[in-house]
Amino acid sequence: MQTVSRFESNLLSITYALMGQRPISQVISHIVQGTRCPSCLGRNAVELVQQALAKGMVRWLAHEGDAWKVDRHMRDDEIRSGRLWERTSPESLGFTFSQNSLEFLVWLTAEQPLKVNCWKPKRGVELTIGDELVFFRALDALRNTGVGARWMAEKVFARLPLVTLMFTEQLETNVDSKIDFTPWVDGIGASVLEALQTRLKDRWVEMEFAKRHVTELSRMNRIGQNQQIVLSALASSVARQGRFDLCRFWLVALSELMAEADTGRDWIGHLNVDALRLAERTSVYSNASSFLDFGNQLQTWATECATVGYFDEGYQAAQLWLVGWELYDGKRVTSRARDLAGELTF
Amino acid sequence: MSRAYRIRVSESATRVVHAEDHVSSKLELLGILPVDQMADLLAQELVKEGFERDGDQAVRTQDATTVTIDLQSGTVEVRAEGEQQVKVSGTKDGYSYDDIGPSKKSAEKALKKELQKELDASITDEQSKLQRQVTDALESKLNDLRGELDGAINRTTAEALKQKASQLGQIKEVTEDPQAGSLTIVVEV
Repeated sequence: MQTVSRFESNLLSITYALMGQRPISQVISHIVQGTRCPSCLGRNAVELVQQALAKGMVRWLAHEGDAWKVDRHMRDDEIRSGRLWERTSPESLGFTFSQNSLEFLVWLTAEQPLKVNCWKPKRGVELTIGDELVFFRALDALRNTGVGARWMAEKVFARLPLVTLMFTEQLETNVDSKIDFTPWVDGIGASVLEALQTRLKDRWVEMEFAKRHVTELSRMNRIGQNQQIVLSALASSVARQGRFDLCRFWLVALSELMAEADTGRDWIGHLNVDALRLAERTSVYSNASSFLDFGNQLQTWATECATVGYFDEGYQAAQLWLVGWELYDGKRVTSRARDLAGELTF
Repeated sequence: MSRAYRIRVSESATRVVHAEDHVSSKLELLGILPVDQMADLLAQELVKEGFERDGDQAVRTQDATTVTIDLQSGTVEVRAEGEQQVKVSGTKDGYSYDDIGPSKKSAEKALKKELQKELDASITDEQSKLQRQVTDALESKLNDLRGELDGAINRTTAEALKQKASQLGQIKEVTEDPQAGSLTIVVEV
């Protein structure tokens, strides 16, 4: 049996909780109160943290995400069907974690996150997909706590692509305008997006429903502007890589929203715009309808994919997008979205 | 026993307040003919509605509202402006411990500063009222404008279709139903 110190025990408990292996409520007091940090960690503890991250992250994606579902996604310009580990060999599904992950976990264990400045990644050490997943999981697990609420206002989180994609409307700061999804549309990053399709879809549906209850104009403007940055950034990365399948969740989300949408005014239901000039009102409405307007991009992809010939490059990727387009009645859905967005223009 | 002397100050101000509002939108014009030709057809229809062509733009100003249409891109900007001269005045009473001298001057100065703030607030209120009027006027004009522009677009589209049809072959018959918004062109190819 391996022995660890009290600090290391708390560190491991927090790591297991972030990996979904125990309830976050069991470790929230450790996080909020902090524990005195030793000058260095024992070898046992470091190895256990490494194992927790390596195995825990994969287990979390398999359990909480869609990794276990039989689905169809692109692999090397071909449509591949099966569960995630059938579409990609397990050897290629491993995560790499830099020192940033361990340092973040140590900081989370040692410090009192409500009282100190937020942790920042080490300069010059590039974040890996594994690192970003750790930060994402931390925010995901703590988002309904005071710690999570504080992190939603931190620029360090607003620079992380997966965080901005999943929690666009909850961020209390502007998303980095230079956000780049390139690592997330290829290799292990793309596999993560495949595994999170349902979760992403649910979040974007919640995001749009949340707009109905927004009362502050500044908040609506921030949500819309953040959405536009994220939508544009991921869409352009996906188009460059020919991975339209990774954005299927947006089509599904729009389909679900249109099934329940009555009128475009629902998106601005609780906003009081009477005192605004029309110029400002137009801006608020445009931000409120940013996801509805994105339906035009999905339609453009469908139109372009329909022109890709059998012997042209990207034929399989185009066909995969068109299958989803037919399945979710993309033409009707995006047309309805356009009509609803049109109700919010002058 | 100290005495307090009543003082009174008066101020007046005349300002010109401005208000402005605008919206932009886009005309949905089908690309039946090349962009330049569609632009020319649209310009012809807009001139009938009182617009003036200025290069790639068509402009109309009525009742302090200017509509500018980019004929190439179809972008429409509607801008309304307003200007009003506002005269405000007021008096304010206060107290000073002296009826002459620096103390009285200091009290008057402070009182004038407060009065100026109140007058500035009144001017801001007037500016807000003017802004409200300009915005309401712009909003009410938009409905009429929408109808006018829809009509211009429909006529432009119809003319473009006729020209396109004539390029394809000989037009045998043209039937228009303005009420139903339909146009039937029979072409012999």
